[in-house]
Amino acid sequence: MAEAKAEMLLANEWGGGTLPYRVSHRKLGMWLFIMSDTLTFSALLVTYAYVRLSSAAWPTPFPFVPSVIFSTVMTLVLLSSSLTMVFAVSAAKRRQKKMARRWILATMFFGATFIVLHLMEWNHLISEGLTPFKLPGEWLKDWPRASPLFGSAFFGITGLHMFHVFTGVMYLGVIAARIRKFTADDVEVSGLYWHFVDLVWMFVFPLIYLMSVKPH
Amino acid sequence: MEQSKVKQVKRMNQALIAAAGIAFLVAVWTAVSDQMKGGTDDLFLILVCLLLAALFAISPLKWAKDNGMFSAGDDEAGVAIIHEHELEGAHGGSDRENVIVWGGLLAMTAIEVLLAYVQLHPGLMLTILMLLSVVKAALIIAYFMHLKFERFTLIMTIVPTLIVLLCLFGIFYPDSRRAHDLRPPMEIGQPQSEQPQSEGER
Repeated sequence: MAEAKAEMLLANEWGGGTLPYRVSHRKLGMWLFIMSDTLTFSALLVTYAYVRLSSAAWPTPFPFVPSVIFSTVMTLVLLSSSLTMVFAVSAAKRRQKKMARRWILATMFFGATFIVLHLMEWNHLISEGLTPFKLPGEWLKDWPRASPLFGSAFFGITGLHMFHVFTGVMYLGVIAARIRKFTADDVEVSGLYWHFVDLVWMFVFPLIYLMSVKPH
Repeated sequence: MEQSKVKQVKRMNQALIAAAGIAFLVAVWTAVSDQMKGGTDDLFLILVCLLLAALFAISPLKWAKDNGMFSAGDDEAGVAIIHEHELEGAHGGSDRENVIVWGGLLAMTAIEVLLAYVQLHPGLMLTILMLLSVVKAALIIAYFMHLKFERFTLIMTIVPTLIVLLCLFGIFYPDSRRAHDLRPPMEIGQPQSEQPQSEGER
């Protein structure tokens, strides 16, 4: 009996009409997008590592207090948003759509908080005189011959990540607003994207912030 | 019908084993050849070859294990067992499990920040941070993104592809140490030093 079933499955596996991966086409598409986006971010991070190592000097300008504490809070916010997203997905799977919407709104709140905190950080650095292609004059006193590429690496990587968070908040907004029309699978796919944004920050945070803590 | 399928699978596995063997031989040849200098390039080539060998070997080894080749069972029963198992469908982790994972991620972040406060040697620091980050990423992918509970085929499509591609990115990384030495001596980030020159021209 079991053998007959296995034979049928083997015959039909790639013959059409079945789902070889046992996931919906949306979910598979999101996974493929996440793979390509992983490569985008890793290309940027490898480039950053390359430029940093091949430069004569590299500034390490973030004081532990307040910059690193501030970015740790941002990490905490993003990690918590992932947890609320997990709850949203499991609520959607239990067909509790109102509950799912509430959790998605909490996720969006954390995401928006992250963007606001990050923009404050940017504002602080820009007011110090950091631009994508120029370091502040005071930094050059501390790190003579430091590469001006610090600015482009910082704004490029964190900017692209922030854009992803922004897109994610928009995406979740659409899902939350029209949750009646969306299935649990749609909520899960949006969750995949959100967790990916969180995952990228798990690499951006140590490489950009923790590796650039000002000696104290 | 099934007999021909089993034959196909066998032939496919033989091809994969052969590919794994070739990759392994290249790694061994790199290690024992005269041109081996023990530099980062050699180490990297060996690592990539061993990685490729492992990746090629995963699928045949799993097939062999499922078919009871390591415990002398018969073929068809094994094939049936896999599919029975997969028919059960995916069931995810509980909320409690996810909260524990979240706590673990927070704890690892706290360790990272503590390391940044202590300020170790940059190389050691980078190694520890990257190891912790990979563990965190794996936790997020497995539990939050639910990949642990998906079908094995999907995992095998996503994870090895990414690992190989990321290693290929890494090939350029050792070059950055050389790039610094190859550069002609010049002042970087100090536009002031250029100013006297332009004044002299005037």
